[in-house]
Amino acid sequence: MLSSYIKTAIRHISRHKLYSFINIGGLAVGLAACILILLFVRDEVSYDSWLPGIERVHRMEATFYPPGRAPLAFVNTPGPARDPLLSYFAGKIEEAARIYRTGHSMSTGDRTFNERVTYVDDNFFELFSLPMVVGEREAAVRDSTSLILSEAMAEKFFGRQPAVGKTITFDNETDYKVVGVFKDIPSNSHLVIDFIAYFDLNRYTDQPWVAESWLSANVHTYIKTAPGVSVDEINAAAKDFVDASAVIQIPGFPVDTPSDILAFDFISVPDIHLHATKAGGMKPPGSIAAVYIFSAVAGLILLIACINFMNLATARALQRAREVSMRKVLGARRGQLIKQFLGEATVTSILALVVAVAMVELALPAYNDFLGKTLELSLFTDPWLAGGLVALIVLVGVISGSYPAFVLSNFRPARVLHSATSASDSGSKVRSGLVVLQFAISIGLILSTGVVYGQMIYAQSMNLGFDKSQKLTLQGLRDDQIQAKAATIGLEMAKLPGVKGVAYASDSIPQRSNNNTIVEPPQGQGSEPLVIEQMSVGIGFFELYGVEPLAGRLFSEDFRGDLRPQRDDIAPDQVINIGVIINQSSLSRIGALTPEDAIGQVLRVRIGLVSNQTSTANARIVGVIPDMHMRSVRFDVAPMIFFVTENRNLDYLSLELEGGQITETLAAIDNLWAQLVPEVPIAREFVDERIASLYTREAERARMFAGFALFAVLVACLGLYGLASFAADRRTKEIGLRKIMGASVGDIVKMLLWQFSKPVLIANLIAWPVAFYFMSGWLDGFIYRLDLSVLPVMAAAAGLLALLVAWVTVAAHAARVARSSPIEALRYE
Amino acid sequence: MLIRMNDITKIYQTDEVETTALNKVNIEIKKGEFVAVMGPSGCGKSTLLNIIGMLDNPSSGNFFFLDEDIAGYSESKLADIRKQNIGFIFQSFNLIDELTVQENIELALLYHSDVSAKERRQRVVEVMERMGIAHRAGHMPSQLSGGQQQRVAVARAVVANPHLILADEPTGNLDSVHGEEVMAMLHELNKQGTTILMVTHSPTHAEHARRTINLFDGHVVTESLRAAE
Repeated sequence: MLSSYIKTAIRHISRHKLYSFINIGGLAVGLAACILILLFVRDEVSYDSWLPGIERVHRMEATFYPPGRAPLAFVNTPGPARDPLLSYFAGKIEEAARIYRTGHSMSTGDRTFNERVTYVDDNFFELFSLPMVVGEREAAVRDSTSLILSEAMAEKFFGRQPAVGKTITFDNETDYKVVGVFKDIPSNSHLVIDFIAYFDLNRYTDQPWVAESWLSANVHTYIKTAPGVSVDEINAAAKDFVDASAVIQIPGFPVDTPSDILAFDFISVPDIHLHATKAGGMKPPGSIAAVYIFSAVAGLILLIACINFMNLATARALQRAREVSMRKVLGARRGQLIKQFLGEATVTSILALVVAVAMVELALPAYNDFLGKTLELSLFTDPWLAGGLVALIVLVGVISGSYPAFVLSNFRPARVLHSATSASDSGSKVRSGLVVLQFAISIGLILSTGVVYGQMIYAQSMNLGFDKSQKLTLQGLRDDQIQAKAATIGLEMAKLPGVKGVAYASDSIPQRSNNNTIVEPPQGQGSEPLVIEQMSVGIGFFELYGVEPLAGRLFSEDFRGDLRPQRDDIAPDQVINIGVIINQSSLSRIGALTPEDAIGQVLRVRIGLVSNQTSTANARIVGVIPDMHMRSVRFDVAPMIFFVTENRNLDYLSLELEGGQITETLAAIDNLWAQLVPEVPIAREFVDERIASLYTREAERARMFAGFALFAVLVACLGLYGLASFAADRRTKEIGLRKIMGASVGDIVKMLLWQFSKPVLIANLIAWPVAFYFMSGWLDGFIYRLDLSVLPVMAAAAGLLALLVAWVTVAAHAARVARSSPIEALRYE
Repeated sequence: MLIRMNDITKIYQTDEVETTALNKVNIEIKKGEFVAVMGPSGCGKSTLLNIIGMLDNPSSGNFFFLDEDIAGYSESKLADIRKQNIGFIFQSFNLIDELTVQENIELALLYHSDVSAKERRQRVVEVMERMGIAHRAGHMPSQLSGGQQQRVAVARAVVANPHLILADEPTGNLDSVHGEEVMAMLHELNKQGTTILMVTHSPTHAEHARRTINLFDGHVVTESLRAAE
């Protein structure tokens, strides 16, 4: 009996090639998409779980509540919190360790690279037991002249030579000895660590914000809880911990309760990748929403593929009616027939899986490249994966085989065998319904893709308030080895042909840091001091970026009285007078109704939040500029105050380049830099590229979404193609008759196209509201977002696209049948 | 002259075999005639009918329909001539299973752009009454007996008022009572002026015709005339 089933199954597959191709191909494409998504999802949820004991390790995160402005949330934390954590939570927290990451120019022999070093407390490896390739990891934290580095970095610095025992010089002054090499951190980790050295606090006494200030967040702090202590328990006590431990002094601004200003919370390390929301992580975060969305997409694609199978199987049921009836006449019971058809579905699914696995293997390198991951389909070594695929096959076999099995086994043999007319096609309504569902899913995915892409394009092309094109930023000008030449570098760069202009600033665009200062509003505008974001620029900065004042003027050489002196040049309690520019968002904060109102008002600015300096500046507002989006448009533009200082005090140099000869200009810039500062490699980047990089994760997700939406449409079209082929065959007689009655080829094509247009049109009615609902919810997450009024246009476009695709799919069949001679149709009655 | 065929030959070719279905056939049919075509299976009866019905092209020879040589006419032009002039009746009825009786009949007028929807419905109702199937208007073909189905097929053939009705063994699937009924209808139509060309195996039914053409192996063997009744 079994052999008879298998024989008929295989003969059916090999005899009906188009049908089998669509069934196996469609299912294979669906399964391949599904497997690719599942690999992605599994990787996303596996972050950091490869670290032993990681479930007890949690990251501390900080939120600052500056009076009168939106809170600032960071994954970075104030440096001094570590020791109080251990004492306050004694018995609950076993270990607490900090990470401080900073960049250096690192040289060995004649090779120099700009790299980022991770300085860690000496108990760091108690929390993160990174596996070593060679050497002892603890040796790195025993003194401050040793380091360990990753395999990749060992190769980059030393090639094939052993790294251990070599010396790396930081910034041309500090020597470190390599004492070990650790395994590269896999891509599924929130950590990005290339070099590890001891976090020696003695080195940062002149930078008190690194480890001494409760109002700066520059380190990452991790805790390891005692067994049985949950992170919730720590979170619940975090507020009391702040009040008991934090020392917050803001000159002229009394803070009675530290928790009014500062809050901590803790997140388990395995949750960081998908659930962390605060800024400042080592990697752009993943998103749990993306995991859900793509899982859903995988399910939908598979559903479409299963529907194909069901539709084609029932559509062809009539052709198999005779086989089924004969089996029944010969004594087959219904249960046996159901088994037979379920078996056929499973055989088809298995064949599809084989093809799908081959597809996945072929696609994986490109997919990994695209995602920046190292996903593998290790069927034989990964029992979970293999088991999952078997489960998937059984699921697909049952879903796609059950309905046809039910329909086919239900034939009444007497009716089928004795009837001159063909058996009536009872499944056609169900089929139409399923096609509607397939196209509703496809249209929904197309529409969602459109919205995701639209939002991405909108965000990237929106007016940022400045001109980002052809701008190059050089960084590190205040580094010890460069600072003396900082001003010269700008002067010389400006002379290069191809460089239109240069300007200095304390930060790059997009911004890397978030600096705030305290401002007292003008007299009579309330006495509450404001915390406001600050940035220092050199003369000509706004002009270089094409920013024009809304009122007042920009900084210029003619008004050197605007210049803000360096902190070191100000005597304690000295009152100085400077000129400042504010942005549009600050207007309401200082009580000005229009930009003109603000001009001439005097703000009292405290210079320096970190130390206890009490220097105050009378800052006269000389200009108001439009808001500049110097961060991702996910964030609102904060109220900002701009100071002007001497160029030599600023870390970043922006260059505006002439279009056309960028390559030559870049070579000249590199060359000039190498002449001026041969010890330090140039660190340069294009502003527009850096801005685009803010959205790479979104762009990647959008492309991935689009790719899988395409998959879905493709699979749906395969099914439609099969159905159209079936319908064309089935209607051959009818079409022949219509032609005899005088219908032209055009009439017939129109009729068939309309038959398949109906389900697509109905699908629109289902897809639109569902997609609207989800996509408007998704857009709500953006501050600057696509106008919702474009949704109907996109919906119409998605519907039209689906209709066109359906037409193209069906047209070939329609034309073939319509053109065929009607006597063919009538002869074989 | 309604139909004139000069040396019409039809050769079917497959990869290996060449079959001559019609060999230099010459036939003339005048308006108002009732002609029966007889002959054994495979003698080319259906091929002749298909060529006259413009569903198939001859391999050689000339075919004049209403004194027009239709060789080289485009398919849409042929479709036009067909729907204006010719009605078909088949042995196996060839009703569309998914359409009701009324819709099946309506089909013959659907592609006549000069007939309005209202007129179409009216003519369908008229012809259904004439054929005695009005009470079955909303039924599906599968719910009808063979005789009723063939009446629907006849109704469909005549609703467009064709000059010529091509009937391919119209009684082949019917019992003698229903067969006679259909023959009576054809006879009546012929009396009203419709030209009828009927392929049949039944000598009895052939007697309804005034002229009988006997085909054998693609040749016209004999033509016999019967005196008008």
